[in-house]
Amino acid sequence: MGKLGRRALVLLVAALSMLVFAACGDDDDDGGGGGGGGAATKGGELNVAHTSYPDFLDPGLSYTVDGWEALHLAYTGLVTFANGNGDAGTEGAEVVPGLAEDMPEISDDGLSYKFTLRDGLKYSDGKPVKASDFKSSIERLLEQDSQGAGLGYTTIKGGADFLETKKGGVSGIVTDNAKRTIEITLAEPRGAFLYELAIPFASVVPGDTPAKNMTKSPPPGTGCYAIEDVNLNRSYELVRNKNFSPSLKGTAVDQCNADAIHVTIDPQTSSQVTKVLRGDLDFMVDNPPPDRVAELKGKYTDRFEQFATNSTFYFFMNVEAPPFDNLKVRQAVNYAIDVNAINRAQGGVLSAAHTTLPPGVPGYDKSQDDLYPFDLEKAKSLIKEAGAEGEDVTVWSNPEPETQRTMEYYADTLNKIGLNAKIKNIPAEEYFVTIGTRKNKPQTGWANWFQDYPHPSDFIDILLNPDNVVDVGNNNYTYNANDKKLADMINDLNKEPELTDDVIKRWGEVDRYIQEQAYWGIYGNRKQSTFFSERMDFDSCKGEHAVWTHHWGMFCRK
Amino acid sequence: MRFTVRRLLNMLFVLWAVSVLTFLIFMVMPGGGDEQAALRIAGRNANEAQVQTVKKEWGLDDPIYAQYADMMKKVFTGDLISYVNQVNVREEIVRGIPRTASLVIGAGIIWLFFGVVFGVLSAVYAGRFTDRALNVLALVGISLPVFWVGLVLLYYLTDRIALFPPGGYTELGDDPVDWAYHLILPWFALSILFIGFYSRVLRSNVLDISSEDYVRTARAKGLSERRILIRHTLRNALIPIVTLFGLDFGAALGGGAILTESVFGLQGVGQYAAESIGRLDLPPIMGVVLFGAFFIVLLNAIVDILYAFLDPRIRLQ
Amino acid sequence: MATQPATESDFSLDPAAAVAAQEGGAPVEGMGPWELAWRRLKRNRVAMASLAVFFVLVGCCLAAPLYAEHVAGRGPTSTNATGTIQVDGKKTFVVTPDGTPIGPGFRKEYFLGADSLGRDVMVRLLYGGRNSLFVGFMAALITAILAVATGLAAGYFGGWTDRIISNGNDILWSFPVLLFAIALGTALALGGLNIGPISVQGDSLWIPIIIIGVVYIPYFGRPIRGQVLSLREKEFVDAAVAQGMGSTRIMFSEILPNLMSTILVFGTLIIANNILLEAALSFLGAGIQPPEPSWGGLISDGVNQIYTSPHLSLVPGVAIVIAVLSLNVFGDGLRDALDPRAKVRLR
Repeated sequence: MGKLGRRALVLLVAALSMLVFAACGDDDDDGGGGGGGGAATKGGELNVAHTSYPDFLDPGLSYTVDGWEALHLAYTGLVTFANGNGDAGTEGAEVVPGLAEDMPEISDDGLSYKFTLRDGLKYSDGKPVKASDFKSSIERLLEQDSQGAGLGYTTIKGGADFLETKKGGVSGIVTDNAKRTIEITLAEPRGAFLYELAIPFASVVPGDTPAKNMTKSPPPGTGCYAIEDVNLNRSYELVRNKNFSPSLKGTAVDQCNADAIHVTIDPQTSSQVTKVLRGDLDFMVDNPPPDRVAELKGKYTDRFEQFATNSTFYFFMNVEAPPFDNLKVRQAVNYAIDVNAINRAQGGVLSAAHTTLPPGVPGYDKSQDDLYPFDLEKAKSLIKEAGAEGEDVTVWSNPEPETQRTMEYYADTLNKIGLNAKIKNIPAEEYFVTIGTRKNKPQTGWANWFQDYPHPSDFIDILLNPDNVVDVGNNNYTYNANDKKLADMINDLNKEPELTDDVIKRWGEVDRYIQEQAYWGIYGNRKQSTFFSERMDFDSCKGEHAVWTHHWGMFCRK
Repeated sequence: MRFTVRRLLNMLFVLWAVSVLTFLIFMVMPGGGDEQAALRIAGRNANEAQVQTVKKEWGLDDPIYAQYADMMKKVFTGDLISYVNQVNVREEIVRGIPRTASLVIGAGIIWLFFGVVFGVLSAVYAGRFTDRALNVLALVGISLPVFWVGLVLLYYLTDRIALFPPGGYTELGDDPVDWAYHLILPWFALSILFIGFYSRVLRSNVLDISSEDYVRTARAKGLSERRILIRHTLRNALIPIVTLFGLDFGAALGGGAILTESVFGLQGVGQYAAESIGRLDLPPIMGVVLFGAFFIVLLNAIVDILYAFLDPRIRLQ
Repeated sequence: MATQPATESDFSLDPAAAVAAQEGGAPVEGMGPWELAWRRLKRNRVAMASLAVFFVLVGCCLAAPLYAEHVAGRGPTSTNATGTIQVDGKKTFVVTPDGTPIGPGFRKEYFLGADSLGRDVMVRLLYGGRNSLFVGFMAALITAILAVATGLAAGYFGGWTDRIISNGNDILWSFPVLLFAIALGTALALGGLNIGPISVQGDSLWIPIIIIGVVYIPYFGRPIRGQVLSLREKEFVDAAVAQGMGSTRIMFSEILPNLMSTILVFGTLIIANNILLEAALSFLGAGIQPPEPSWGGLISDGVNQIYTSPHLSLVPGVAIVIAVLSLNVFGDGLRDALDPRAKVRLR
């Protein structure tokens, strides 16, 4: 070849060799030290990642699992949930005193709850906690039309009025700062109320916290961590609270092993898995992608496991939109769904489910499982009997990969039994809002619900009470407004102040009734993964929790 | 001078038209619009009252042209806020710029270099094995879907053989070697298409020019092939390449790198754009589109002006 | 050569032929430029083989329903997540309880393996090909028609027409192409297109067709305009004007035929590019909407399982490369055949 050719060749080789050198670059382990063996090490700093930033870092506004996992560590309510032992909760987490000295005095008619705050409580900025701060915290969430406003806080006397007029405060809360007492009067009894005082919505923040979204600079709280260094959409820090109240030491609130937790965002779960394997990340909040689950289950049994969460995944059927107004059609759908198929399509991340209430919630009754065993032929004949063959059905879905796959299975199944189903995709952000708008008349589609607290009304009342059907912003996608019988059953049970065995049994019966009406095509409870980096102590500090999913304060290193 | 001024005015007009088009697509087309934006901001469990409050607060009740004017104002003052997570759009774009720039500039250097080298080699050895082989490679290069190449590279070179990191980005300031290490695969994936294309264009330019009269004259005069190549042929053959590079570089910076960024998780401006579009989140979409259009238009104008400068025929029009 | 004075009935524009006829030889037929080009093309075996590959691919995709019914036994959306088939005499799960689908193998069912819902990848590939190729081709048609129309008008009429069209092209061109296509694709996929009497559903194939068709108009239209500009100055146009032909007729009968070679070559390239663009859009969810299969959509379906079931994403990509590569190689050959100057050597 000519001189030119040789020159070019040399250049090429030089360039390529540069690339090769770069490729053999460092492979250092950036993961932090991690000391010797033996007992769990407290202290140190951990690295945790979400796939998306919590909806709000403001306890009065956040309504997502991600948000609560962080917020409960920094903010406390009058009561809170027990920590358990870090192994997947087999019983629902119980409610224990938080900022209050003791469990409340509840009047016989269930209308009055009396609390006394512990002595010497202070926030992370050192300022004292006043009883009136509880009242202003509740008013704060109502004033902002928080998504949590729909929960039991409007049952407090004056709560509903305040929500509407934003004037006059919530008269049903009476506090005495000197005596540290708080007295809450309800407009009607409500069994779930005690639980609703334990979730972040009802946590106490300083009385002067403005009634607006404080995510960018979260207010001081009483938890053993404080949220700092908020970098919106990128990261935030949970740092040990230097002003942790002495009176809270030893209580359920005092559960912070690590000194600090660095939380970052990484939208790709597959890259999070790799980071955990390399030690750059200690824990990933979200599940690994389905195709890596098999690998992790097989190769990393010493730091990976799955446990069932209290969640229900289901296909809703809108009784205001034919053909789903016909019971036979809905039953046919239930017979046609093969939960094993869906489970496989999603890589084994679901436990098969057939009941409205997941196994961890009181009211679940295993003996009532499986009212509709998988039977395609029966489903087809039911459709024929109902005269619904060939009926057009729009299946609502969003493009998130797992949902997408499930809905493709669902649409195909509907077609197999004789309906004419087509998928309609809506962006994930708009999905619930769109199916929650009555006039859209969504016939059927996907939905899920993760418990807010382990009480049956959280599922049945919110998602299926006919009285909760509104025109915009629904959570009841079956739009069963005409089922008076169900409404009465639920409303009565709501008023029961305590979860006695009898009450639990009656909730179970409501669940059974709902199944008989086939309002939903239920298919699974989501399994959550615990996946740790090498330096984390998997055996004693798993941090699995029935309500918070994972209690990060329980994490520790080897 | 007048030509330059005209060009710049044209640029502004085009940017304005692009902004109007973007606004219309997402405001007027079914599926977008005020109602959806309000619902998205208000959240999953919003009721009618909350939706109305949001509409007032965000000015979603105002007539279309008022909303457009307001949005444009926010673009210039840097106050554009996302509907979905209330993040400031300008900050997000600024944060993404170094990543996109790292990807595109690096890839640009690579594809320009290899495109020219391969093109010249092909032309010099026209008809022989080198040329045929390079032509095959080039043809394959322009036939590969960029995102698929990225996926294939990810699978084979980061998982099967853990040669490279599986996506992600390290700041240049933190660790330059790691920064480059993370970018090698994305650079490669992004450049393949252009290397193939440029080498073919350059080859055909060089061959065309070689048969032009003035080159034949030089040859007749007895100048060495190499001299001819470098002083006459290449200089002229490279002009269209420079033009193309300006346009392609602008397009890549403006949004063409979306796929590569998304597949490798680089979280640059392109990925931000893709995510925002997927969520129908108009403020970031507007921000990113204008950002992209700005670069494309700017580079187009620069290329045109340069061209006029270099080619006296146009100047004298 | 001597020209014999001819009688009126013998008048011919081809003196050589006339002489040959007079001398009693066979009539010499000259070959028009198209015939010459076709001959050159036929001699280019690589290009013809490439075209054959493309046609075979198209043929296979068109035959998708036949394959689905007679070979695979299931359609593209038919799920089978808990089913089993016989592999080497053993009963194997199509999808393991862990969610890992079966890979490619020489069998009638699941020839290219299954996806995690138990659907047949080969069937989806063929149906997806139908959709992707249809979109690519129809979009190219739209681009060609609109680009030629606007290019002709802008180049021939000049003045304000040219200004408006060129500015329009500039605006279109300046919109980051991919962003524009993704934005339109996503927005329209949601609510469909409703302009006056025309109403198109959000998940119709026409949405990506129109979007891809529109996006490439400036890419095609500019060279056309350039060519028209130079053709306009040629003598035969002056002659036509002198003969009193109207503008439209001139454009269509004089200028357009001379554009054909450019149109053909560009057309082939545009189809190739469209296939790539459609794949990119569908990959991002802004193109052909699920559950209609498309090659880009199949790749995106398989992304989350790239490490355990790479065949899901690899196979559709290979199909795309084959389609696009064969078109590009053929396009090269076509260009060589239509423009013989390209065979120049440097030394």
